[in-house]
Amino acid sequence: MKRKIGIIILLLILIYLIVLFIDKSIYKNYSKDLFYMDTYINIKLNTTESKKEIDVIFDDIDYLYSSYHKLTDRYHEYDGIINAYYLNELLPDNKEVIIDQRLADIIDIGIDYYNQTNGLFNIASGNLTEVWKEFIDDCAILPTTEDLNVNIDITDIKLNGNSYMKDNNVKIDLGAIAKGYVTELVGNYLEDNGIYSYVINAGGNVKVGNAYGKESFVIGITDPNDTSSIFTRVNINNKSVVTSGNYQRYCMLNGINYNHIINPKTRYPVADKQSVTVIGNNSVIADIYSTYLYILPLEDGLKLVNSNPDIEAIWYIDKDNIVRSDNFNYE
Amino acid sequence: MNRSDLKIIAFIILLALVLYLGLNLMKKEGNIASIYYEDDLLMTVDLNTDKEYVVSGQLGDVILEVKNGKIRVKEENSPRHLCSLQGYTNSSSKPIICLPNKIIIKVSNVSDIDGVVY
Repeated sequence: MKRKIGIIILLLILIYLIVLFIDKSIYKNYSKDLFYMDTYINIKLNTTESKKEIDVIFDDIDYLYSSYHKLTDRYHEYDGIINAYYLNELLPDNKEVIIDQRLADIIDIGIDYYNQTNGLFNIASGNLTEVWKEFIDDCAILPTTEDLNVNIDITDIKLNGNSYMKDNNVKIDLGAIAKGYVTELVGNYLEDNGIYSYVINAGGNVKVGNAYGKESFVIGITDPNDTSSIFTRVNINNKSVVTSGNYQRYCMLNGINYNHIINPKTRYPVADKQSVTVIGNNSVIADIYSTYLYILPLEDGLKLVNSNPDIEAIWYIDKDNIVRSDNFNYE
Repeated sequence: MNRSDLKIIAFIILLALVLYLGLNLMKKEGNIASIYYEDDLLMTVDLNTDKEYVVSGQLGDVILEVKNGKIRVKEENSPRHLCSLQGYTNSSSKPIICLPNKIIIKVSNVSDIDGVVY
């Protein structure tokens, strides 16, 4: 009898060790939800790491999104943090302030892309987006030309290293860059920690790693005319996908769609297409380009993307007119 | 090792097999929705039974309705009612997200889609 019990115990220990060993070599799925930057963020990982190790990773990601959320937030003040709100609302004209390097880096990229996009991507358009946001929220009285005649001159922002100074009450709006920027950081952070199979979805700003156990990740692109379904799907590895569309934040008034993406040249919402989706290697660039290509007329955008080997795009003009760049071969 | 030892070994292997299969089969797919407040699971609901549920969100009660294998947010208190406007879902690639209320509804089923851009 004693011997039998001994055998049973030995067997149980053996089974336990086998289970532990198998567990260490099996890929497991983890998922985490976060709410930052006015959006829902979901991170899915496929890795051999244990729950304990992944919890630490998720905490770090939470910290990344939350700290960048605070720095780029233009609606709230946070104790001891110089953020977009502070620069826009509290900092007087022509007064220098030293800002966090992380915030300076984002503003720097924004200014860089202002120049690369002939001013169509303009992070200094805070005063203008504010007018339109108010209108979209109430959806009542259209702003007048005078209302729209606000300062969006990016040269009124003087950024020199960490030193920030503004003039003529110019305001920054980092909404078209911040999510893509942090998502890129999070993707790099995961890869630095040996996690290559991941899907980060920050409010429709998607970055994926290398799919494990299948050929590629499959990402659906929302149908602007029926947002509960998708109009196509793309098969990708190690790519970022970002959509800009007229169905996310908008107001329908007298049959006209006024959406949240404003052309800084005309000062009015873009109205000639329903969505543009960009696929690229880098999440920040995909984020910036989705806004840029949404503003840019189709012909110009098509020319631009076809001459750039790093990005591909699909334009949903309307349901009968969907245009793909030459090398958009992900479907 | 005698015969009874072998019996015990066989029994344990059989038990492990039954447990493994049982646990795997218990994972029903496609007809369950999980309701979260931020990251906390509030409840899981069966999509095969038509019924209404109430959970509390950031801005008050959120009423969920299950009908014909699908789930939607029927009523909620938020400035623009975006999540009740989303309508029904029965797909894991289309979670319902109530942003001001911080309620997320996720359907678990086998989907070949890993995410959706919007």
